[in-house]
Amino acid sequence: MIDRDFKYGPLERAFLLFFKLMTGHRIRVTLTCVFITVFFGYGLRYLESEADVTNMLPQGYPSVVHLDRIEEEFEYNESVVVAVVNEEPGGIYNPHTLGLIKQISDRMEDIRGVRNDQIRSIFTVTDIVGDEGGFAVVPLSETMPENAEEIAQLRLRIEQNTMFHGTLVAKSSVGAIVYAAVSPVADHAQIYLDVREMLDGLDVDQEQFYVTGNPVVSGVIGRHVEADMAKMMPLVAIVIVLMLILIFRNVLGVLLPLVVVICSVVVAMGMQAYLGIPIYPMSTTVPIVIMAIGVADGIHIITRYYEAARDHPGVTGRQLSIHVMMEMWRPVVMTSFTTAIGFMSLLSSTMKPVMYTGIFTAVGVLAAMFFSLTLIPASLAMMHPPKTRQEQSRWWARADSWFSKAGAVIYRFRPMVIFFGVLLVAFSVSGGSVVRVDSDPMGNFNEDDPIPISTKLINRLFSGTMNMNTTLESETEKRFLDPAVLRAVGKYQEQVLQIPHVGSSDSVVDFLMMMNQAMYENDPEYRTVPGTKNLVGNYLMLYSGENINQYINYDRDFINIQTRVATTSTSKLEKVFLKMEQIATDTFGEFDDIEVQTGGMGRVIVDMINIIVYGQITSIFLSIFGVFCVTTIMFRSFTAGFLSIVPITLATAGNFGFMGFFGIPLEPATAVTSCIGIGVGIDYAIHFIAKYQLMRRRGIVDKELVCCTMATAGKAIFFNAAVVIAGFMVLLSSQFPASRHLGLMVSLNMFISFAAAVTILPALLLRLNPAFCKPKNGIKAPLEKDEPTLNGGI
Amino acid sequence: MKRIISITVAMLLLGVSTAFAELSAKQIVIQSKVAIQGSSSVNKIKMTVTNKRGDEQVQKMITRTKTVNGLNQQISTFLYPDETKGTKFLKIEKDNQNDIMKIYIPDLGKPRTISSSQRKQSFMGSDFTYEDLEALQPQKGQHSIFGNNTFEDAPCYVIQTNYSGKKSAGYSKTLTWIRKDNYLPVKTEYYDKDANLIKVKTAHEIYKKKDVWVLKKLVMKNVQKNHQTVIEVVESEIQPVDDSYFTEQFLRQTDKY
Repeated sequence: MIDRDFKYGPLERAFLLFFKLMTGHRIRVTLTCVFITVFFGYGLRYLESEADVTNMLPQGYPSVVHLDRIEEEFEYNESVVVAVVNEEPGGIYNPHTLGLIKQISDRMEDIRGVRNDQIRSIFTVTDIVGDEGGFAVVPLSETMPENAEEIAQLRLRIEQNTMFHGTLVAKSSVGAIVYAAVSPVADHAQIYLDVREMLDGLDVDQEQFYVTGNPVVSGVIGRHVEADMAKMMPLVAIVIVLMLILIFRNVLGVLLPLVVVICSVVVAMGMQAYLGIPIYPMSTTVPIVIMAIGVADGIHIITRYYEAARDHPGVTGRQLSIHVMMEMWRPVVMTSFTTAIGFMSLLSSTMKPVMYTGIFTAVGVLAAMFFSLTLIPASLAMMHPPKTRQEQSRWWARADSWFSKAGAVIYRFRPMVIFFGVLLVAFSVSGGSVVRVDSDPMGNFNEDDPIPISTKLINRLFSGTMNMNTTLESETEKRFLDPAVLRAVGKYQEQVLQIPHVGSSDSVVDFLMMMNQAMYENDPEYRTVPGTKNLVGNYLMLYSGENINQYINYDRDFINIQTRVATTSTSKLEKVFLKMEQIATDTFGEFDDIEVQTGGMGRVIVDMINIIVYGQITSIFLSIFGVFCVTTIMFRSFTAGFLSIVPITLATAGNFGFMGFFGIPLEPATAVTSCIGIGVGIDYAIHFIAKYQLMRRRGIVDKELVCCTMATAGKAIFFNAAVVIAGFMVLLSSQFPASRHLGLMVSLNMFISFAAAVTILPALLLRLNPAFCKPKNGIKAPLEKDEPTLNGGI
Repeated sequence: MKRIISITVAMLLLGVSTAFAELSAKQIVIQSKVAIQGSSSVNKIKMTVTNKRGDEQVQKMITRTKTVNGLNQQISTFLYPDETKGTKFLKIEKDNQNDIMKIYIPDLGKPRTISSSQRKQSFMGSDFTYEDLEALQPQKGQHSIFGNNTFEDAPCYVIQTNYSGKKSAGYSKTLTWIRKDNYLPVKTEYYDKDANLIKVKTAHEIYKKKDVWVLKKLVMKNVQKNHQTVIEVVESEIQPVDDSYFTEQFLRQTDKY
């Protein structure tokens, strides 16, 4: 017997019993694991993706509540935007291009999910016309102009109307737009595909089509998420298999860790599906992170299994399995819990995608722990203990010697190592101080994707694709019939138009001014807010064209000023709305009874990014603190707690420094890097310190101590980091530039964590010679191969 | 020849014509047109527009109407809401030419003509277009008998009218339920150019008063926008109306309704 019960404390005895059970009922255990996986795997079919930002923010969030209110009160919906561009002289003003615009306006109605009554183009909008003695609110151009004269007439009417010129037709005349509002519950990606298909069927001459709009952007990102998942998962599996083959060079070493991570991913994703929680663009990383992290438990256990088989020839498979597990359960449980804590810190975020990313990564990591503690011992017990092959032991021996040599180098240059650490900190502080928060939904596409190309073009030629809404609300019914208030609204719009990137600003005032002009024989001098409340009331009653209800409600106590902004960058959008808010305060300050609010989709997106990013920074501190507490308790030493967080803190700082120096903005994808880094990187420090502590307690000192730790824990950490980095490198093949960024940043983070754990940690440990590493009561701990240790003695 | 059932006439007290045994679609339409020509009357009307959220917008007006040589004349004065109080709307039907539509807003000082091109547009922000307030026109569109049906238990002819060309009010076809006993159009379904139902107009509270048929309530539902407008006759009096009401002078008289 290699397991001696009398050596174990109560917890150990419980685990011994547990592993005896696991190995005794190995077939049942295996079948149970299979059943659990199949059960959760069945749930995967219910998995849905979600990319609509309004569904990501917490319920009751002010800008979302405001947007919901606008949508409800004004029957306002976000639009798909189609631009028809003809760069030839004369632009769109020729029968063929106009014909296409007409066809698109007509056919948009047939697209499922498009709101038939909310299609805006030069062929659907109403124009207010006045002449001597009369006026009419009539379609701008219901039918196709048939000759040059009619075309010139149409052009004149468009160019005279600020609500069309620059918004529906580019000021340069090279393009025209069809806006089609879509139902919030429709499949927006499908709408995009349908629109594209409809456009492909049109007879094109010189014209080009561009399609974008907020619903399209989020819908298509949602589609990409699914495609990306389907592509990444097998790739990650392949990379992990390759890495395992490289390390273990046999079937068992490859198969067991692989099965564990696949089962863990299935459990985490299946649970997410059963709970009805969709996958967000951000959570595509969840399975990859679970795979990259979950495989570590297997690697450590199998490595130890081979070592134990070499050291204890002639024992049964079950005995060997129990022996290895008794050594390994502690590091497996502890690293899993610290990693899970790292990810659970994301719960401090109020953003659903962030929260769920944290929760389900943690679930996956704990599932990996579960399978490592059940399926692996059961499987190992079914095997005959391996007879170590010559070739394999030579590979291990070589690896041991490399890492031992590396330890010697680190020992020799230890002052320099610390110096480098300090340099890294200085670099990080200077770089990190210039990191800016910015995100652009277009960052989710490759530059040559039609969506960012369309968005850029439309933002350049027209008033913009991003919407901001300013609402004015009063308790008094009919408050907004007051010409004084309406004049202030007009003034507000004028000033808002001066803000960079603002393309247009529409409100009920524009309609009223046009009505007024039409009523006064089209005299431009009367393009003003009507002079009396009664006139305003009459005009609103008479105005029977295009949905004026999108700008003012029935009770006339709530109005909506719609501003289009020609940028998708959140930092620029934020500047725009801050300026809008300031203008609003200045302009409407005199009206005590009117509540002004600036919001809209643009605001929601900015809020979302800010919540994620600033929340992320909070969770970085939280997780470092959490990890510090856990390691302090684990090692029963503050110094150990402090030392444990050194590599992850350096890695986090290094990340920020890198971003600052290379101008990479802080956005959701890059902000989550640090939390992944902390969750994973802490394992390296724990493994290293635990092994160092063990070796030191055995009386090994100085150079030999570093070399021994390196040859054992250092080697395992290296394998572990190599697999994780390789796993994250898979993200470089993602469709999302943001995911590729993430892959690169996490890899960098992992590398720093690993490098710091094997260099700076030993340098600091040697320098500090902390009490928790010293042999207890001056007695050297016995050198015993099969002693249950914290780190299993890899 | 255009016969117009104006907002008022639609709710008027109506004379009944004799029923024929077997009629063609066009004959039914002609009968129906005759049936809704009203006598001179003064009516108080309430128009309620309800959006899909259930918000209501109420307008009240007093309307005088008379038919001269088969052509309808109508003058409405708005009484509610306050900001439109005193605004007047005059409509004079013309044979073989565009109707005259004029609006007088006191604060504007002089009457303005409403262009006839606005006929397909919404009437005062309601779900009715100016055109929807008219009766089926025998010479406009192709009429055919779609079948027989009942509306609120009354047997009806169902007339299908197909439209083509520019003057179609944006409808591809309408189905009109015309009562067999009095030829009143009691229900109309409007279909858009893709043959989808857009709006449904129904007449309610139809009864006989002193040998004339009274139609008290007209409802237009826009099924696509989930929006509806109800026009109700609050008070109605059959009485002669002087020609002087249908003039620009009366339009300008803010103190007279």
